[in-house]
Amino acid sequence: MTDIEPLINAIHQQYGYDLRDYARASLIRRLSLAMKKERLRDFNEFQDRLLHSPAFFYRLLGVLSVNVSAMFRDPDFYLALRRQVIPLLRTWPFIRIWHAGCANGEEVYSMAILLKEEGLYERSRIYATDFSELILEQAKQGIYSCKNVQTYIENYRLAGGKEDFSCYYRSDYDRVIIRNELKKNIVFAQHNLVSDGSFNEFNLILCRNVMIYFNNALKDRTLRLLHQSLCRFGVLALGKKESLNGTELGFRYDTLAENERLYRRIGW
Amino acid sequence: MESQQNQMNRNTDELHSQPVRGCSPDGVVLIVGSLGGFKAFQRILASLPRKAFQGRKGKSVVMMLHRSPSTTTDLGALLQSHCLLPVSEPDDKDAMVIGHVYIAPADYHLLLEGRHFALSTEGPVNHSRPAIDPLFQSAAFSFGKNCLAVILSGNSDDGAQGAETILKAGGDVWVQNPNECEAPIMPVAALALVPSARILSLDEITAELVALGQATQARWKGEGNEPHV
Repeated sequence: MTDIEPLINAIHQQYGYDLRDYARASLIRRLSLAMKKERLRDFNEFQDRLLHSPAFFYRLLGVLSVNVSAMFRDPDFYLALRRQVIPLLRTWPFIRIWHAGCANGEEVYSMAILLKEEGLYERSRIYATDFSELILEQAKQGIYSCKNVQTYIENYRLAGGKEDFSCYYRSDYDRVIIRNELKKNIVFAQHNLVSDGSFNEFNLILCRNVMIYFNNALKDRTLRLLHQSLCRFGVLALGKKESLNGTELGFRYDTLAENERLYRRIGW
Repeated sequence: MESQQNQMNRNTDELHSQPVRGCSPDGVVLIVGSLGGFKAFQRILASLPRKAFQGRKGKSVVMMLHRSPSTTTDLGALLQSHCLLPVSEPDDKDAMVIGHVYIAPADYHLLLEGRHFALSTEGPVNHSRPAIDPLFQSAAFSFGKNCLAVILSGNSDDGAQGAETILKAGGDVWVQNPNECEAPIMPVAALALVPSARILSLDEITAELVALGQATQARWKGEGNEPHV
């Protein structure tokens, strides 16, 4: 029906973004959506635009990296972080956290709020990375539509929030802006899980709902990269429907919370 | 791999002069609903016999219900108490097991990638996540004519476009009779785009599903080197 291989090769050769190991079902879906949005007739015209307009490509990259999330998405997950992971983090003098695939940053700021309330923020540093510069810029700004705030507050409450959520942002017309004190220990940087390597050793790595877009080979490779970047007894957090079961590194992890997909590295 | 599978299906089809839609042993049945769909799910699951769906000539069933993203209820466990077949919510990249009933998890889109599940967190489609259109479109792409879509009661037009795609790919579409639906919008919207869909009451749907399972089992009994189950 749709042959997207030439398109994928063109993106790889022209821009160096390697989508060859992305899961096909959602990639085809997203490329088709982008095609409709840009009013292109078919994938041939798509390829033509792609090769001759870098601006078009970076818009496309934005579409490909869209993850519609919310602050404290999966409140149960943040509750489990608070109850089971924070006590472990407390045992380290300095805490490094890697948020791989941070999208527009909502979940990064949720993590910052959690650390602040547990008194760990001052000795933590969060490295938030994504492969799209465009979306990273949004994340850096921390500006969200006030339409979402109701969901944020509800999630925050369910996640065991201790304060009045409104103290973490200020309103500006129809938007909310995350306060600067939550941003100061967060480093936003471009990093591509497909092609880039490990860049530090972390006590906690969150890679949630990122590998669902990869095929099995790339998922395994990414898990190896995360493994290399995790200190011993460090914690790995995956999305609610992702699992280490059946992966080659699974046996090197202990399950901290089965339902919330929190794993602790125990082996080399 | 997909093309290989298609090739295989084509060959087996040539063996039988009379084509029966959705009646191949590696097909998938997609059952979807929204408002009022849960009750219908319970009734359908309660009447699925183990024998007709399990074994090498069985089928997988994938169900999707529009549900609130914040819900934490384990729909799989709730429905399991009505069903003889194993029911669960799939994880990302899980292989689809024959004779198994899968329920789409909350707050993700569910896609079929060959015989594996793929989840996605892209934005709501037709105001919903999970949404039916992406599931149907990916199923049509992966399974072609070996997929059967059953659209039940619901208050949205989600699923209509996907149903059209499935029909174009050679699959089959059944729609619950809007007159007996708690919310008729979804079946009506599907019928508007796919007028040739079969209109069935819930009782007829369950009966036809059982018959389909049994027919698949019977048709493939003793064919070539296929052992009896």
